[in-house]
Amino acid sequence: MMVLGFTGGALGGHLGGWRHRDSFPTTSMQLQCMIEMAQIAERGGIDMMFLADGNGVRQMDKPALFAANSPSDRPAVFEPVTLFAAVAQHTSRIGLVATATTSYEEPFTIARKFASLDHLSGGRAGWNLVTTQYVEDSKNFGRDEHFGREDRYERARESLDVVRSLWDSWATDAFLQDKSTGRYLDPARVRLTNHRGKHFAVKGPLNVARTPQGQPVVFMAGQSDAGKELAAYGGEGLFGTASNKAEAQAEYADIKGRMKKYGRPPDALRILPASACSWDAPRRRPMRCSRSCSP
Amino acid sequence: MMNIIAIPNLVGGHLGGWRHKDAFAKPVMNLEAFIEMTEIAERGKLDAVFLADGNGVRDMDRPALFAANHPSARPAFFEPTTLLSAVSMIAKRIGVVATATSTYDEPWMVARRFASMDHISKGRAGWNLVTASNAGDALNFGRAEHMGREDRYARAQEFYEVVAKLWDSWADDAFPQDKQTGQYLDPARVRPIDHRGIHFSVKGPLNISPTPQGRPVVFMAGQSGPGMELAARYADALFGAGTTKQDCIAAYADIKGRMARYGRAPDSLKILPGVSTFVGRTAAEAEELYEELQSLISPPLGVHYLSKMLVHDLEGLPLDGPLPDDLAPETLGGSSLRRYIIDFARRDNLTIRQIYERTLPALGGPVFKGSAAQVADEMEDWWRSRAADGFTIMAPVQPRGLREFVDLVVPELQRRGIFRKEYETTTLRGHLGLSDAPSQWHPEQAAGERGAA
Repeated sequence: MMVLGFTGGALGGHLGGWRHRDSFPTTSMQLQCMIEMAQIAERGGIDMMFLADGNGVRQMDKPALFAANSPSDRPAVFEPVTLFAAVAQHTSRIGLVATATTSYEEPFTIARKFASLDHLSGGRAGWNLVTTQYVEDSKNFGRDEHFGREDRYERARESLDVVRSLWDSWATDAFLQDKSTGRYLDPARVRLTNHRGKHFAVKGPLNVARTPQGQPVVFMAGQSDAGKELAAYGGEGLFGTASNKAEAQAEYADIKGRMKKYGRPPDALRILPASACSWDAPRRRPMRCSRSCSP
Repeated sequence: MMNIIAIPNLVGGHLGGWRHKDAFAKPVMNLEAFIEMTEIAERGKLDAVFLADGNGVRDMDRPALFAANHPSARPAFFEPTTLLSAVSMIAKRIGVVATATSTYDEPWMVARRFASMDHISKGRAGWNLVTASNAGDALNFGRAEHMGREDRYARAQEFYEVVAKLWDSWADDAFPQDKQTGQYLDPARVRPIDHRGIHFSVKGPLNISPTPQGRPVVFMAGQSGPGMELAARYADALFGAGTTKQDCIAAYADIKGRMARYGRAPDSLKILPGVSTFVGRTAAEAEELYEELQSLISPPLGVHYLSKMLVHDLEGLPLDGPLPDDLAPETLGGSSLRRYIIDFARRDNLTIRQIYERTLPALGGPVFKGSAAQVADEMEDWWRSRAADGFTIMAPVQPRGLREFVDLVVPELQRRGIFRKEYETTTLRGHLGLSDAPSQWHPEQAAGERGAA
C-alpha cells in the first residue's frame, strides 16, 4: 500500500496561500484550524499529519518578507508535541508526527515527550528528528554559532541511540499494580540506559511506561549526505526532497542501498517525497472553517 | 472567595492509597482515569488541577520501596504539558498547572511549551516552576552532581526573567493577517529580548503570539529562604507553607511582607498550602479510612519511606526510639520537606515509628480529617485567620478522595458563601482573582487595568 502524509501548516504551502479567498480567514494560533485539517485527512484515510518546526523567529532582517510570512517561517505556531496531544483527542486513527531537534533538546526530554504523546494518542506518535538548519536558532540557546554539520549529525546519532534506549527502559509487564501484595512494579523488569558518550551522559530509565507502539516512529529529512546516512542508520520514515521522478528514483536507491551495512532490510524505511498538489476541481466548495476559527 | 486547586495524583497521596479497595485498579499511564479526576474537580468548580513532576525514576536503590511505589515517586507518568494539553480539550473550564524545572530545561523550551498550552487551553495554563530537588535527576542530563541550592535559585531567577520576557515578545495586535494587503504580521510590533546573563543568553523573540492570559500563571513551592524570596518577587501562586495553622500564618505574613520591596500588592500572590483531606459522611467514617490506610503500610516499608524522605538510612535503628543525632542539617538535593520533618520530629520528641506514621498520610503536611462540616470549619478558620488564601487539596485514595471532597465539602463551602457556585471567568488568572500580567506593549496601563478595558 502507498503511504500518504500531509504537512499541517494552516498557512498552506504557497507563499501567497494564506491570502487566497479559500484559505482559512485567520491562521495564527488557531487550534480549530489544526483540528479541522487533521479530521479532513483522517476522513481521507491519510496515514499521518506532519508538522515542521523551528526554534526561532526568522526573516526579521528582511521586513517585507517577514511581514508577508512565508510558509516555512512560522513566526507564531504551537509547540508541536503539546499541539498534537490536543489534536489526538479530536481524532482517533491518524498518525501525528512532530518535529524536535537533537541540537538543542536533551535526549531525556525528547524521549519523554514523544513517549507521552504515544500514550495520549493510543500509539499514533512520530518524531521527526532534525538537527536544525537555521543557524540563528542557536542564539536562543546560549550559542553564538550553530553547530557545524559534522557535529550536528554526530550528535543526532548519539541522541537517537539514547532516546531509543530510554524508550526501551521498561518491559511491557513491569507494572503489576497488585493491590493484594502491594507490588506496584517489578524492579527486575526495568533497566538503566547508563549511556556515557561524547555528547550526552544519561543514566535512565525513562519515567514513562513502554508505549503502545513500543517506540514512536522516527522520521528524518535527509537531504545531505550525512542526513541520508543517518536515515539509513536509524530512520523509519524519510521526507524526500527530489523534484522529479528520476531524482526520486536515484534518492530511493541510494538510501535503501545504504541500509544493508546497518543490518536493516530496505523495507524498514519508508521514503515519502514531498510534493505540492494542485488539481482542477471547479465545483469544489471553499474550505470552510468552523466558528471558533474566525477572528 | 477561597481558591482551591486539586492534585489529581492517580495513586493518591497516601503511601498505601493505591492499594485501597476504592482506588483506581490500574493507575499507570491511565488517561481515562486522569480525565475522570479532572472532570470531578471541574464539577466542584475548583480553580485548577495541578501536576507535580520530576525527570527521573527514583528509589531504584531501595527495591522494597521502589516496588511499593510511594506517591511522589512517579516511575511512569505522562509528560505534564502534553497531558494537560490533551485534558484541556475535554475539561473546558478548569485551570491546568504543570511542573517544569529551571535546572535541566532551557528557558526557550519552557516558554514555548507553556505558551502553547495557554493557547490550546484558551487561557487556563499554569507553570509550576521548580528547581528539582531530586538529586538523581541530574544523571539524566549529563551532570554527575545536582546543582547546589544557591546555584539552583540564582539560575531559577534568571530563568524566570528570560521566560517572562519571551512571553512578552509580541504585541497583541502584531498579527493583522490581512489578506487584502498581504500583511500577515507587523514587524514593528515584535522585539527580540536580547538577554545576556550569567546562566543564559537568549536572543528571542519567542515564536508564539501573546497568549490569552498574557502570561501563564506562575506557581512556586517556596519553602526554603531563597524559594520564599523568589516567590515574593515573581510568583502568582504558592502551594508550600507549613503543617500547622501557626506555621502557615507565620509563612503567610513573611512572604506577603517581602512583596512590598518588589512593588507588589500582597493580593497579587495567592498562598495555597497543600492539605490532605480525609472526608466522610461522618467523622467516624473519615477515621475509619485513615486507619485502613495506615494498616496497609508495614513497619519496614515505613522506615524505607522515612529514610528516603530524610536522605538518611534509618534501617536497624529501634522503631520506638528517636532520630539519630548525626543527621546532617542540609543535604545536596534534600528538600524543604526534609528540613521540615526533622524540625517537627525534634520539636515533638517523636519516635521513628511516630514520625513515619505522621508522614505517611500527607508527607508530614496538614491533615484535615472528619465530616464535611468539620473539614469546612478547618478550611474556613485557616482562611479567615490569614493562614491561607486557599488550598491545594491532596486526597489519600483516588478517585474516592477527590469525589468526596467535591460532593461533601464543596457544597458546604458554597453554602457558607466562601467558594464559588459557578465559574465566573474563563481563565486561570481570572479564577484565582489575579490581575492581568504587565506587558511592555502596554506601558500606559498598570497591571490590572488591561483586562478591564
